[in-house]
Amino acid sequence: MCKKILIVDDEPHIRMLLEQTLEDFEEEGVQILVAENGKEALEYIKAEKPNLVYLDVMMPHINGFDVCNIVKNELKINDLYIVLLTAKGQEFDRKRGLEVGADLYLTKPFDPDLIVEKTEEVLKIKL
Amino acid sequence: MVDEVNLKKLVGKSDVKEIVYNILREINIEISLLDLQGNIILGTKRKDGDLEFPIKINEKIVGWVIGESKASVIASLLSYIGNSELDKKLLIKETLNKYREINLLYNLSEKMASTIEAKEISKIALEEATRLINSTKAEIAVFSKDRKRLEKVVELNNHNSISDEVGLSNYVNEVLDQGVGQIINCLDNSSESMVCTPLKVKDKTLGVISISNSNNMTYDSEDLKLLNAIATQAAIALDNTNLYDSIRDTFLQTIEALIETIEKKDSYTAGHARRVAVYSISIGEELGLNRSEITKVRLAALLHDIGKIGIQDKILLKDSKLTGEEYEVIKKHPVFGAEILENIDQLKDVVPSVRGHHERYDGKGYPDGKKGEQIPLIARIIAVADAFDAMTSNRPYISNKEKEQALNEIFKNINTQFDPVVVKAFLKRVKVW
Repeated sequence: MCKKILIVDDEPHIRMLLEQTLEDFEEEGVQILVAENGKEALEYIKAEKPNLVYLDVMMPHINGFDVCNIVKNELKINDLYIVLLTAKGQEFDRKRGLEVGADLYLTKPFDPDLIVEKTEEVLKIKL
Repeated sequence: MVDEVNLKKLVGKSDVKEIVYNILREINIEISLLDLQGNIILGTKRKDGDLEFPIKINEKIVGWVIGESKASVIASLLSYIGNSELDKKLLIKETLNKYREINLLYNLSEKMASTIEAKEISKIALEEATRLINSTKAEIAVFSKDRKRLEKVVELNNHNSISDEVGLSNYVNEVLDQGVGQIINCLDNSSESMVCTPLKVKDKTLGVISISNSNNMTYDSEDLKLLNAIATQAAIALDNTNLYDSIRDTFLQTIEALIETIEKKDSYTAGHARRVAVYSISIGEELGLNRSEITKVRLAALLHDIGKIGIQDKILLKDSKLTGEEYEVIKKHPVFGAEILENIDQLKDVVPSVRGHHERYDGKGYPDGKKGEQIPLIARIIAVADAFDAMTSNRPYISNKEKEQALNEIFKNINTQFDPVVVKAFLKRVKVW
């Protein structure tokens, strides 16, 4: 089964930037899925079972914390690596991030090299 | 690849696919879409009489639309969408590069903020520069205090570079004169290339940062831009260390002046404070104190008798034996010392040690009668060093005993006057002397 990465952000340009950053993984057979909100993200996670998700925190309705909480604590999906993304300067609630079971959190503007590195590590793929 | 648009991926997008199918239905034709290798991406096999229309992205043919003459509109459409897609990709690439830069500067300033050592800051800057820019050598040099010479702070050298021999330093001077960074490629037809830029804060030039490569490569403006970004951060951090240094110098000079004051007043104690500091530091080291603790030991030892300034000359400088009353006055000097030093924020930490240096391990000392571990460790250290120096240096009110006798005396007073652990550490060091 091919490996899957899910990108979740309500801002189109962030989605594009992440997609572009992760583009080379497609050559390695990784499928990149994109969701625009928390609801869509949950549907993708249930149906497609991605291995890694880059999840924006600040989204309307179901935010990143909620998605993370539902996935890890309600759906008990533990083989999904969740990276929370939050804007630099925005106060990030580390404690809350840990409570809802996020594996890592990064700030935006993200460091593209770091995203690639982390993805390589989680998917065990060397570009 | 960022600067390429994959035709298959492009027409694989659901919105693009829909537009193409709608148009084909409207103009009622069938086409096939071939990539450069002739593989069919879309549609059916070609029929006799079909024409070929190229799909061009950025002036380059990326595939073909095969069909009757009306099919040319599909080729134009896909060329247009492809070019827009390419523009978008280039913009994304540019944004991602900006992201890299922002993160670089952010990480750099964060790392640099954690140190006040010029060497450490320079090392961080050079490591970052060599990580991002292909180089075999990198260095930071700053002006000496008199601004007459450039002094190398740190150099990272991966290979034996010949840069010094081919006269790169001329270019460094030029960079300093003009105040702007330069790229020097294949200097004098050698295999050496260099990027060099000044370390500037406002209009003050502190020095230069340069990276070079001796493997026949060329640098471009991107490299200079990156180095400039690093230089700006490094310059600010280095300038802060200068400010810090000058504050520290002022502080140390103030301490010197204070010691000098008491020494001027009581010539017998001249040199005493410095010797006590030497003894105390070696005890501290023997006890395994860390660097910042040792600094406190040094300051407390240098200043332990500063309170004597507050003692009247006729008592402090009296040649004959002191009366009981006079001795009570002398005994106030640790408290006076503490009160004087309390005024200096940076000395807050040493105040208890100065106040406590005449306490005794058995609690029979002054001014507070503290005992054992209640007495600050540094005060217990100074007590031993102070006693040793009092017995071994020539002071009018005490006969000049031999070192051995002094040590015996100290040893005899373990647990009463002195902390046994401190004395043990002292004896260990004295043996080495």
